[in-house]
Amino acid sequence: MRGSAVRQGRSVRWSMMIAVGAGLLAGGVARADNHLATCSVRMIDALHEPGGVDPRITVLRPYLEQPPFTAWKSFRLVEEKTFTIAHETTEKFTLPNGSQASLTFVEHMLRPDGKHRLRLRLEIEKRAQKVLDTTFVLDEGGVVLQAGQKHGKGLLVLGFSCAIPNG
Amino acid sequence: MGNQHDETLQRYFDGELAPEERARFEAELTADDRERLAALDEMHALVAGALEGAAADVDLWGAIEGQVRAASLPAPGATSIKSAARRGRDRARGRRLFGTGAGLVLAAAATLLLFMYPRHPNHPTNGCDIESLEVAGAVATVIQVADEPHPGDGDTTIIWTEEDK
Repeated sequence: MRGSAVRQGRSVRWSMMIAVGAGLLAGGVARADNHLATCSVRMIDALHEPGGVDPRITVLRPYLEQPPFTAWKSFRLVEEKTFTIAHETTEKFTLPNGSQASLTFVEHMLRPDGKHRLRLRLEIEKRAQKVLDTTFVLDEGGVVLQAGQKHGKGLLVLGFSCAIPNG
Repeated sequence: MGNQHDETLQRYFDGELAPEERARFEAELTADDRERLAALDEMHALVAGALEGAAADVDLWGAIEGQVRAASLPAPGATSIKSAARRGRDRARGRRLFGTGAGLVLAAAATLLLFMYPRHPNHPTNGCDIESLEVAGAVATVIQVADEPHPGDGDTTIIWTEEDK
Protein backbone atom coordinates (compact mmCIF):
# COMPACT_ATOMS: atom_id res chain seq x y z
CA MET A 1 0.00 0.00 0.00
CA ARG A 2 2.71 2.42 1.03
CA GLY A 3 4.78 1.43 -2.00
CA SER A 4 1.82 2.06 -4.26
CA ALA A 5 1.30 5.53 -2.73
CA VAL A 6 4.97 6.35 -3.28
CA ARG A 7 4.77 5.21 -6.91
CA GLN A 8 1.65 7.31 -7.39
CA GLY A 9 3.40 10.29 -5.79
CA ARG A 10 6.37 9.92 -8.16
CA SER A 11 3.98 9.57 -11.07
CA VAL A 12 2.23 12.79 -10.11
CA ARG A 13 5.55 14.61 -9.74
CA TRP A 14 6.73 13.44 -13.18
CA SER A 15 3.42 14.46 -14.72
CA MET A 16 3.69 17.90 -13.17
CA MET A 17 7.27 18.30 -14.38
CA ILE A 18 6.32 17.28 -17.89
CA ALA A 19 3.37 19.68 -17.85
CA VAL A 20 5.52 22.54 -16.58
CA GLY A 21 8.19 21.79 -19.14
CA ALA A 22 5.68 21.62 -21.97
CA GLY A 23 4.20 24.91 -20.83
CA LEU A 24 7.59 26.59 -20.80
CA LEU A 25 8.39 25.22 -24.22
CA ALA A 26 5.04 26.25 -25.64
CA GLY A 27 5.45 29.68 -24.11
CA GLY A 28 8.84 30.08 -25.75
CA VAL A 29 7.50 29.14 -29.18
CA ALA A 30 4.52 31.43 -28.71
CA ARG A 31 6.83 34.34 -27.86
CA ALA A 32 8.74 33.85 -31.13
CA ASP A 33 5.51 33.75 -33.18
CA ASN A 34 4.18 36.90 -31.54
CA HIS A 35 6.86 39.15 -33.02
CA LEU A 36 5.62 42.20 -34.82
CA ALA A 37 7.61 43.82 -37.60
CA THR A 38 7.54 47.55 -38.08
CA CYS A 39 8.31 48.25 -41.72
CA SER A 40 8.75 51.37 -43.75
CA VAL A 41 8.42 51.70 -47.49
CA ARG A 42 9.82 54.77 -49.20
CA MET A 43 8.51 55.33 -52.72
CA ILE A 44 10.87 57.48 -54.72
CA ASP A 45 10.73 59.03 -58.15
CA ALA A 46 14.04 59.03 -59.99
CA LEU A 47 14.29 61.59 -62.79
CA HIS A 48 16.94 62.52 -65.31
CA GLU A 49 16.55 66.24 -64.63
CA PRO A 50 19.00 67.69 -62.11
CA GLY A 51 17.60 68.17 -58.64
CA GLY A 52 19.58 66.21 -56.12
CA VAL A 53 18.26 63.93 -53.45
CA ASP A 54 15.16 64.82 -51.44
CA PRO A 55 16.31 65.74 -47.90
CA ARG A 56 13.68 63.36 -46.53
CA ILE A 57 15.56 60.41 -47.98
CA THR A 58 19.07 61.47 -47.07
CA VAL A 59 19.59 58.04 -45.55
CA LEU A 60 19.38 56.54 -49.06
CA ARG A 61 21.60 59.13 -50.71
CA PRO A 62 24.77 56.97 -50.61
CA TYR A 63 23.04 54.30 -52.67
CA LEU A 64 21.26 56.64 -55.08
CA GLU A 65 24.39 58.54 -56.01
CA GLN A 66 26.30 55.54 -57.27
CA PRO A 67 25.74 52.97 -60.03
CA PRO A 68 23.32 51.85 -61.24
CA PHE A 69 21.50 55.11 -60.45
CA THR A 70 23.98 57.61 -61.84
CA ALA A 71 21.93 58.18 -65.00
CA TRP A 72 19.23 59.73 -62.79
CA LYS A 73 19.98 63.14 -61.34
CA SER A 74 17.10 63.83 -58.98
CA PHE A 75 15.31 61.68 -56.45
CA ARG A 76 12.06 62.80 -54.89
CA LEU A 77 10.18 61.07 -52.12
CA VAL A 78 6.65 60.59 -53.41
CA GLU A 79 5.20 58.70 -50.49
CA GLU A 80 6.31 56.90 -47.37
CA LYS A 81 4.33 54.26 -45.55
CA THR A 82 5.03 52.79 -42.15
CA PHE A 83 3.08 49.84 -40.86
CA THR A 84 3.25 47.05 -38.36
CA ILE A 85 2.90 43.51 -39.62
CA ALA A 86 2.23 40.51 -37.46
CA HIS A 87 4.01 37.24 -38.09
CA GLU A 88 2.71 35.48 -41.23
CA THR A 89 0.49 38.37 -42.23
CA THR A 90 0.54 40.63 -45.24
CA GLU A 91 0.30 44.37 -45.66
CA LYS A 92 -1.00 45.62 -48.98
CA PHE A 93 -0.43 49.06 -50.41
CA THR A 94 -0.67 50.92 -53.68
CA LEU A 95 2.38 52.23 -55.48
CA PRO A 96 2.47 55.68 -57.13
CA ASN A 97 2.32 54.06 -60.58
CA GLY A 98 -0.94 52.29 -59.70
CA SER A 99 0.57 48.86 -59.15
CA GLN A 100 -0.47 46.90 -56.09
CA ALA A 101 2.23 45.76 -53.73
CA SER A 102 2.20 43.54 -50.69
CA LEU A 103 4.77 42.80 -48.04
CA THR A 104 4.51 39.63 -45.95
CA PHE A 105 6.34 39.08 -42.67
CA VAL A 106 7.20 35.43 -43.13
CA GLU A 107 9.60 34.73 -40.32
CA HIS A 108 11.76 36.26 -37.66
CA MET A 109 15.17 34.74 -37.06
CA LEU A 110 17.77 35.26 -34.39
CA ARG A 111 21.29 34.34 -35.35
CA PRO A 112 23.69 32.86 -32.79
CA ASP A 113 25.59 36.16 -32.82
CA GLY A 114 22.44 37.94 -31.68
CA LYS A 115 21.63 39.59 -35.00
CA HIS A 116 17.92 39.72 -35.83
CA ARG A 117 16.88 38.99 -39.38
CA LEU A 118 13.50 38.96 -41.04
CA ARG A 119 12.28 36.82 -43.89
CA LEU A 120 9.96 38.93 -46.02
CA ARG A 121 8.05 38.41 -49.22
CA LEU A 122 7.42 41.25 -51.67
CA GLU A 123 4.84 40.89 -54.40
CA ILE A 124 3.89 43.48 -56.99
CA GLU A 125 0.92 43.23 -59.31
CA LYS A 126 0.28 45.38 -62.33
CA ARG A 127 -3.16 45.33 -63.89
CA ALA A 128 -4.05 42.25 -61.82
CA GLN A 129 -1.02 40.35 -63.09
CA LYS A 130 1.83 39.50 -60.78
CA VAL A 131 5.03 41.05 -62.13
CA LEU A 132 7.36 40.49 -59.18
CA ASP A 133 7.43 37.88 -56.43
CA THR A 134 10.51 37.73 -54.28
CA THR A 135 11.36 36.33 -50.86
CA PHE A 136 14.42 37.59 -49.07
CA VAL A 137 16.03 37.64 -45.66
CA LEU A 138 17.02 41.09 -44.46
CA ASP A 139 19.00 42.28 -41.48
CA GLU A 140 16.81 44.03 -38.94
CA GLY A 141 16.90 47.75 -39.64
CA GLY A 142 18.65 47.20 -42.94
CA VAL A 143 17.53 48.50 -46.31
CA VAL A 144 16.79 46.68 -49.54
CA LEU A 145 15.92 48.56 -52.72
CA GLN A 146 13.66 47.62 -55.61
CA ALA A 147 13.97 49.76 -58.69
CA GLY A 148 13.07 49.82 -62.34
CA GLN A 149 9.33 50.26 -62.57
CA LYS A 150 8.36 53.10 -64.83
CA HIS A 151 6.54 56.05 -63.31
CA GLY A 152 5.80 59.01 -65.51
CA LYS A 153 9.01 60.27 -67.04
CA GLY A 154 11.17 58.56 -64.51
CA LEU A 155 11.82 55.47 -62.53
CA LEU A 156 10.23 54.22 -59.34
CA VAL A 157 12.58 53.24 -56.54
CA LEU A 158 11.24 51.47 -53.47
CA GLY A 159 13.22 51.32 -50.24
CA PHE A 160 12.20 48.70 -47.67
CA SER A 161 13.33 48.47 -44.08
CA CYS A 162 11.92 46.49 -41.17
CA ALA A 163 12.63 46.14 -37.48
CA ILE A 164 11.37 44.11 -34.55
CA PRO A 165 10.56 46.65 -31.84
CA ASN A 166 10.49 44.11 -29.04
CA GLY A 167 13.11 41.76 -30.46
CA MET B 1 10.69 41.77 -82.03
CA GLY B 2 11.31 43.25 -78.59
CA ASN B 3 13.61 40.37 -77.66
CA GLN B 4 15.51 40.70 -80.93
CA HIS B 5 15.99 44.39 -80.32
CA ASP B 6 17.23 43.66 -76.79
CA GLU B 7 19.65 41.12 -78.15
CA THR B 8 20.94 43.55 -80.75
CA LEU B 9 21.31 46.22 -78.09
CA GLN B 10 23.35 43.85 -75.95
CA ARG B 11 25.53 42.90 -78.92
CA TYR B 12 26.00 46.57 -79.71
CA PHE B 13 27.08 47.20 -76.13
CA ASP B 14 29.49 44.26 -76.29
CA GLY B 15 30.99 45.54 -79.57
CA GLU B 16 29.91 42.50 -81.52
CA LEU B 17 28.13 44.23 -84.37
CA ALA B 18 29.76 44.58 -87.75
CA PRO B 19 30.69 48.18 -88.63
CA GLU B 20 27.82 48.61 -91.08
CA GLU B 21 25.29 47.09 -88.72
CA ARG B 22 26.66 49.17 -85.87
CA ALA B 23 26.30 52.39 -87.84
CA ARG B 24 22.78 51.48 -88.84
CA PHE B 25 21.84 50.61 -85.27
CA GLU B 26 23.34 53.81 -83.89
CA ALA B 27 21.26 55.84 -86.32
CA GLU B 28 18.12 54.18 -84.98
CA LEU B 29 18.87 54.46 -81.26
CA THR B 30 15.99 55.83 -79.22
CA ALA B 31 16.22 57.77 -75.97
CA ASP B 32 15.16 54.65 -74.10
CA ASP B 33 17.93 52.68 -75.81
CA ARG B 34 20.47 55.27 -74.73
CA GLU B 35 19.25 55.06 -71.15
CA ARG B 36 19.56 51.31 -71.16
CA LEU B 37 23.04 51.55 -72.62
CA ALA B 38 23.99 53.97 -69.87
CA ALA B 39 22.64 51.58 -67.24
CA LEU B 40 24.53 48.67 -68.84
CA ASP B 41 27.69 50.72 -68.81
CA GLU B 42 27.31 51.55 -65.16
CA MET B 43 26.61 47.99 -64.19
CA HIS B 44 29.61 46.85 -66.19
CA ALA B 45 31.79 49.39 -64.40
CA LEU B 46 30.38 48.26 -61.09
CA VAL B 47 31.33 44.66 -61.71
CA ALA B 48 34.69 45.37 -63.33
CA GLY B 49 35.81 48.06 -60.93
CA ALA B 50 35.90 46.05 -57.68
CA LEU B 51 38.52 47.46 -55.34
CA GLU B 52 41.51 45.35 -54.27
CA GLY B 53 43.63 46.56 -51.44
CA ALA B 54 47.09 47.46 -52.63
CA ALA B 55 48.38 46.23 -49.33
CA ALA B 56 47.72 42.67 -50.44
CA ASP B 57 50.74 43.00 -52.68
CA VAL B 58 52.98 44.44 -49.96
CA ASP B 59 54.84 41.94 -47.82
CA LEU B 60 55.45 44.04 -44.73
CA TRP B 61 56.00 41.02 -42.56
CA GLY B 62 58.69 39.58 -44.78
CA ALA B 63 60.54 42.87 -45.13
CA ILE B 64 60.63 43.68 -41.44
CA GLU B 65 61.44 40.10 -40.48
CA GLY B 66 64.36 40.10 -42.88
CA GLN B 67 65.76 43.32 -41.43
CA VAL B 68 65.33 42.17 -37.86
CA ARG B 69 67.07 38.88 -38.56
CA ALA B 70 69.91 40.67 -40.30
CA ALA B 71 70.34 42.94 -37.25
CA SER B 72 70.34 40.02 -34.82
CA LEU B 73 72.99 37.86 -36.56
CA PRO B 74 76.30 37.62 -34.61
CA ALA B 75 79.62 38.71 -36.19
CA PRO B 76 81.15 35.94 -38.35
CA GLY B 77 84.11 33.98 -36.96
CA ALA B 78 83.54 34.69 -33.25
CA THR B 79 84.41 31.66 -31.06
CA SER B 80 85.27 33.04 -27.55
CA ILE B 81 83.02 32.82 -24.56
CA LYS B 82 82.60 36.56 -24.66
CA SER B 83 81.63 36.25 -28.28
CA ALA B 84 79.24 33.45 -27.43
CA ALA B 85 77.77 35.56 -24.65
CA ARG B 86 77.49 38.47 -27.01
CA ARG B 87 75.84 36.21 -29.52
CA GLY B 88 73.44 35.14 -26.85
CA ARG B 89 72.69 38.73 -25.95
CA ASP B 90 72.37 39.57 -29.61
CA ARG B 91 69.98 36.69 -30.12
CA ALA B 92 67.97 37.77 -27.11
CA ARG B 93 67.98 41.31 -28.40
CA GLY B 94 67.06 39.94 -31.81
CA ARG B 95 64.16 38.02 -30.28
CA ARG B 96 63.03 41.16 -28.51
CA LEU B 97 63.44 43.13 -31.72
CA PHE B 98 61.71 40.38 -33.63
CA GLY B 99 58.92 40.28 -31.10
CA THR B 100 58.66 44.05 -31.10
CA GLY B 101 58.79 44.10 -34.88
CA ALA B 102 56.14 41.42 -35.11
CA GLY B 103 53.95 43.39 -32.77
CA LEU B 104 54.43 46.53 -34.83
CA VAL B 105 53.63 44.64 -38.01
CA LEU B 106 50.48 43.21 -36.50
CA ALA B 107 49.43 46.59 -35.18
CA ALA B 108 50.08 48.20 -38.55
CA ALA B 109 48.18 45.48 -40.35
CA ALA B 110 45.27 45.78 -37.96
CA THR B 111 45.23 49.55 -38.38
CA LEU B 112 45.34 49.21 -42.14
CA LEU B 113 42.50 46.72 -42.10
CA LEU B 114 40.42 48.92 -39.83
CA PHE B 115 41.09 51.89 -42.10
CA MET B 116 40.09 49.96 -45.19
CA TYR B 117 37.23 48.06 -43.61
CA PRO B 118 35.98 50.03 -40.63
CA ARG B 119 33.55 48.31 -38.34
CA HIS B 120 30.45 50.13 -37.17
CA PRO B 121 28.85 47.66 -34.82
CA ASN B 122 26.17 50.05 -33.68
CA HIS B 123 24.52 50.83 -37.00
CA PRO B 124 22.13 48.57 -38.94
CA THR B 125 23.63 46.52 -41.70
CA ASN B 126 21.90 45.94 -45.02
CA GLY B 127 22.65 42.26 -45.36
CA CYS B 128 20.05 40.75 -47.65
CA ASP B 129 19.83 37.26 -49.06
CA ILE B 130 17.47 36.79 -51.99
CA GLU B 131 15.90 33.37 -51.58
CA SER B 132 13.53 33.43 -54.53
CA LEU B 133 12.81 35.82 -57.35
CA GLU B 134 10.14 35.51 -60.02
CA VAL B 135 9.18 38.12 -62.56
CA ALA B 136 6.72 38.30 -65.39
CA GLY B 137 6.95 40.72 -68.26
CA ALA B 138 10.33 41.95 -67.08
CA VAL B 139 13.93 41.02 -66.54
CA ALA B 140 15.24 41.10 -62.99
CA THR B 141 18.80 41.64 -61.88
CA VAL B 142 20.07 41.47 -58.34
CA ILE B 143 22.80 44.03 -57.77
CA GLN B 144 25.03 44.24 -54.72
CA VAL B 145 26.53 47.65 -54.05
CA ALA B 146 29.00 48.54 -51.35
CA ASP B 147 27.46 49.97 -48.23
CA GLU B 148 29.14 53.29 -48.89
CA PRO B 149 28.52 54.92 -45.51
CA HIS B 150 30.08 51.94 -43.80
CA PRO B 151 32.44 50.16 -46.14
CA GLY B 152 33.43 46.75 -44.92
CA ASP B 153 30.10 46.07 -43.27
CA GLY B 154 28.64 44.26 -46.24
CA ASP B 155 26.67 45.17 -49.33
CA THR B 156 23.31 46.68 -50.05
CA THR B 157 20.98 44.78 -52.36
CA ILE B 158 19.06 46.29 -55.24
CA ILE B 159 16.44 44.24 -57.05
CA TRP B 160 16.41 45.86 -60.49
CA THR B 161 13.54 45.07 -62.81
CA GLU B 162 13.41 46.15 -66.41
CA GLU B 163 10.04 45.86 -68.03
CA ASP B 164 9.77 44.21 -71.39
CA LYS B 165 8.73 46.49 -74.21
